[in-house]
Amino acid sequence: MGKIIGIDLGTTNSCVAVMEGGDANVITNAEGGRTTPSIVAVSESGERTVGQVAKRQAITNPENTVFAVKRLIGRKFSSPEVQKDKTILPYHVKEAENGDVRIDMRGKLHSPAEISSFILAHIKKVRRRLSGRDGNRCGNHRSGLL
Amino acid sequence: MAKSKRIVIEDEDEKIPQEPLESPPDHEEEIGEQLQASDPVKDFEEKLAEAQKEADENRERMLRMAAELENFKKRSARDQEDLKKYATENLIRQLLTVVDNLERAVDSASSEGENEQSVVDGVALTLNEIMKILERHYVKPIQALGEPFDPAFHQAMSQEEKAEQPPNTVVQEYQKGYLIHDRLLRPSMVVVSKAVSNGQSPDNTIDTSA
Repeated sequence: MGKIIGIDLGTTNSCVAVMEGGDANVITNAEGGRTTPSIVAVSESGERTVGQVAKRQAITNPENTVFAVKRLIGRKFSSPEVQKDKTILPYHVKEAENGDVRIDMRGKLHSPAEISSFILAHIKKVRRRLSGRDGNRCGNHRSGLL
Repeated sequence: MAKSKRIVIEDEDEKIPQEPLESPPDHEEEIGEQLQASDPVKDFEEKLAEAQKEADENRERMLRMAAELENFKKRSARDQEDLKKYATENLIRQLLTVVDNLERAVDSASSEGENEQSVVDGVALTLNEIMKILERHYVKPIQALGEPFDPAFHQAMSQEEKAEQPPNTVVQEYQKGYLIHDRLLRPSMVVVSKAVSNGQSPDNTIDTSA
């Protein structure tokens, strides 16, 4: 039986826990932290970074460092929330053909859900390295306003 | 062979949906065998008692295992607590000698007739000592200045237009970073160069962006 894991995909930070012997244990990331910043960046060379590393380079690469993307999930480009966020976010928020939100990272358009999936994929990679197996049954708790 | 066939029939009442699957063709034959069997009720009771005993044993074992796991969890939690509490013991003991030396330095610096140079020398020696201790605990400083900016080790604090440095180079270090074993203990706090906008360099130096 696969292990049961729970993921908190947060607006600013994300966290993963695994059920072990009846208790939920938080899995630490590569640097020993219990939470990982929900940040994705693409460097000048096209390399994608996620988490702490993406956060550290943010100031050198503000237009291609995406944070707080959860706020944009499921919203239309024309919605007042997106229009307001657009004025304060350093990264490029664009409109898709169907009116959804797209984020431009070095010329490539990504949906907010796609950016979130990069964060999940990163956490999954770290987790797999630690637990040595893939979680099949996965609970996903999303806190905050959606 | 005959024995297993008999069981099929005995279980007939409880396993009606399974019975036809097992062996419907030789049903009549089995009934004949059943009549010859010693005592089907007694046989059934024996089997039941056996199964009951096995179930009890399994239950007993399961409970014991659960209790053992619970104990193990408690013990390992306590062990971890202890480990956390005293993990720094060895390091702190070594740091105490540094504290002693610094105390002596303060004493001698505040006493009359002590020249400044010897105080500086003393503090430098103490710094050296503490770096040795850190090294023994696998703590290493990160080389940042002049290196290409690497977010895996450096934290960008700000950017500066520099014509004499290739872009994305560490041009200033506010605070040194450290590694412990292979893990980042603290990133270097750095200023990163960026290409001069509109080609006008602040001080006229040769462009080395290649």
